[in-house]
Amino acid sequence: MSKQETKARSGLSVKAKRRIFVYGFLAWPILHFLIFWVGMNIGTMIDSFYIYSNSGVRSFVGWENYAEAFKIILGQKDRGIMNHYALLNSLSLIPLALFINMPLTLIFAYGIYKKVAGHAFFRITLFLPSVISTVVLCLVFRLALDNSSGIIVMILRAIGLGGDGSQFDTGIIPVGGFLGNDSTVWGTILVFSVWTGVNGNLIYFSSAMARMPQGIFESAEIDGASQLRQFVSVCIPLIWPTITTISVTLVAAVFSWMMPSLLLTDGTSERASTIGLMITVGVKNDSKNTVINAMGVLVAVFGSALILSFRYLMSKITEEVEY
Amino acid sequence: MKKTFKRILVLCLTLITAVSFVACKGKNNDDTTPTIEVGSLKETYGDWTGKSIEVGALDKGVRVEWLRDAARNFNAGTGSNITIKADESLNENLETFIDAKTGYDVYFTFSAQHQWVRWGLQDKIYPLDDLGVNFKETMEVCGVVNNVRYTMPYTYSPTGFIYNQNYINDIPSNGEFVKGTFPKTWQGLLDMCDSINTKWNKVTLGQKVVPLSWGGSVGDMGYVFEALWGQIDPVGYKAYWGQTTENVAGQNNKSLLVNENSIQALDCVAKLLNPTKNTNGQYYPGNSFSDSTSHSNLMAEQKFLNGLSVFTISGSWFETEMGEQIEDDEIDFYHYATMPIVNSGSKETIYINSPAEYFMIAKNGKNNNPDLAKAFLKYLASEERSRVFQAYTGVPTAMEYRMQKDTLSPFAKEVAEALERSAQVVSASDQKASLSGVLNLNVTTPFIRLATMAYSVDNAEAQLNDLYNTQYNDWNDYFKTFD
Repeated sequence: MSKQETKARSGLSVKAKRRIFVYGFLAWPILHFLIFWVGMNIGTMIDSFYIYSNSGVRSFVGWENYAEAFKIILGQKDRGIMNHYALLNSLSLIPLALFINMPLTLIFAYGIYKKVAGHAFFRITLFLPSVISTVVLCLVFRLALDNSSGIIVMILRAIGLGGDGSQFDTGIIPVGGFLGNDSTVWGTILVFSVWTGVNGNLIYFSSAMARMPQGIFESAEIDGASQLRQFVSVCIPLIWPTITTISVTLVAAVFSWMMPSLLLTDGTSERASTIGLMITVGVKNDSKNTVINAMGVLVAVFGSALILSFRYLMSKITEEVEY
Repeated sequence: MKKTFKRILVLCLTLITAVSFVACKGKNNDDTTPTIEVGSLKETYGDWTGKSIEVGALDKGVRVEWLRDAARNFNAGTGSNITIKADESLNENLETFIDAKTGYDVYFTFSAQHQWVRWGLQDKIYPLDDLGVNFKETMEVCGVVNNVRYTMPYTYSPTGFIYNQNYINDIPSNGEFVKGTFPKTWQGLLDMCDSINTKWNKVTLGQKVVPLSWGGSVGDMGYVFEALWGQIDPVGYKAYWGQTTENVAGQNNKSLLVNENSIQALDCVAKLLNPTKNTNGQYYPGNSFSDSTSHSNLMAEQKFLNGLSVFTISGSWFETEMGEQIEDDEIDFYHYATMPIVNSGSKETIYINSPAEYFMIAKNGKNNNPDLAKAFLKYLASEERSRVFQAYTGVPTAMEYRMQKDTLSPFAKEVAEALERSAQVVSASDQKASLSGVLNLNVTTPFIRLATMAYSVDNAEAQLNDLYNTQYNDWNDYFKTFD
């Protein structure tokens, strides 16, 4: 059947039909993107140059909201959880995710791939924190740190680090408890993040490792490469594209990271503020506070630059391996 | 082996899921017994046969059983169809509900600072000037902006100390504290704390019982400070809260917040917190738990009910808020006390918690029936419903009415009697038109500082100065929204 005959029968060329088919599928996500991303962000950007009075009147204020946002970010002005710790804390999540959580996840995934003793048990138990709600994990962690009956506090006391159980002698437990003391609250939240965060990407790394050709490892073993050498020199380069993708998503996620801070401190600790928490609570309390809009725009610009630079850097570290 | 392990794991997960579902079962709200006569309701409030409204109610503190009871009675008496939707996080989502195309017709909740002012001025809620409610004098000004009433304040929540009578009967007398009686003077309270710490040394659940259980992460210690300030200097206290948006703009009003009387009140709190050096050289609240500064009000109340402290800070809502634990453990040792007297000759005081819950009628209500909504609010403001509300919750209403003490629980009766004999301290700034939240005295941080630094007579003044400076900076931001 000729092309002309096909066109004549339906009135449309095959190319046109294919386009309709493809764009038909894409129509919904494109519409969603245009409304909830483009539309919302343009609205946010425009509003960042205005303030609203109680009666709903909008007034142009130029860069005033941005000046306020910079004052908050630079620590010249603090109001509750809207403070300079928010950016510092959020940025501190990047090294935690890249240099602690992800390497640990890789090691666990490699152990499972190499079928270490009890690997079937670890595969399930290590994945459990990923399927249990953060709310439940936070509640468990908070109860474990309670000075009166928390399991962690009890263990610390049992090994002589938690004092004698009186209010007067609490050992290494600070006044206010780990989550109630300004000097320990963020560190404690980071410990929680490691506890719950190492397993989040286990499934991706396990899948990537499952695709690795077994023959390369056998050759490496014949050449006398140790397990560590095989992990570093064979496994990591083979799954580097997955590591890059996961790393970029981890870096991008720090700007919206907030749940543990909110749930472990009721969102009241100024030292446990994060960018995500500050923006979410700020909008919830006062949706007409346009300083939050300015803050959002600044974070979007800074965050995008950071993520793109990081992505570029990761792609330069090693060449992609085809197999 | 592998299969057995998988089976055990699946069984465990199934059991956990099943137990979780059982634990999530809601309360039984099938009690449909009307509490009062319904015959005359149609004559008083109108015939609303076939008309409907939906009330969104915050399911915290005073809960919603009293409101369901009111709706059942009103529906039975007037033919209306009023439904109550309980929501634990209603106040957090109010902004969304009010701005949405449709929402609840009526709200019972409390909102963040001056939210209701904005909704009133933007014509999103109905004016309620024609309700004709007989409010308590101190609550009359709440919910009014530009001489228009937009909300109907409902709860009138006395705060105070809740103490364990069994413990009080056991603690050795010391100074002004007499064994068996909760102290009437501030010095007596400090002497009691001293006796608990040094003479009594009671141990419960493996821990030494502390005098005070206190939720440091929330503003409950503020109740104590304001009750003391209002007691020491009732005129100065009123002058501070009576400021208008004009005179808070300058720095001329500093003396209204930082003066010898407010300093004395905060110093009393510092002494109650009793900062004490621990083995690490850090200061902790010596009359409380070392981790009190991170406790919530609920955690503090639970520790009190577990017998870990002699008294706690709460209010008339304590019995309702902790009802489950009180019922499950059959606890009856708790009693209510007003703020002890600092200077002889003063009257004992009760700070009335604010912002308190209120009603408002939204213009975007899905049934859009403001007349029925207003009739229902009038009914809720009646003397009968105020009494029923108090009988259910132990909390009085903001309306002027004669309390019916014989229908109250022993605890609620103590609160009612305390209200009759004491002076009441009301700030209510969050709902006062002239202030609308501009003077939001957030003293959570100063209390934590006072509890964790060496005591000095100058600490209180330093903290009040800091508080004033913070407020002064914040006011500029608040004022922008009043232009």
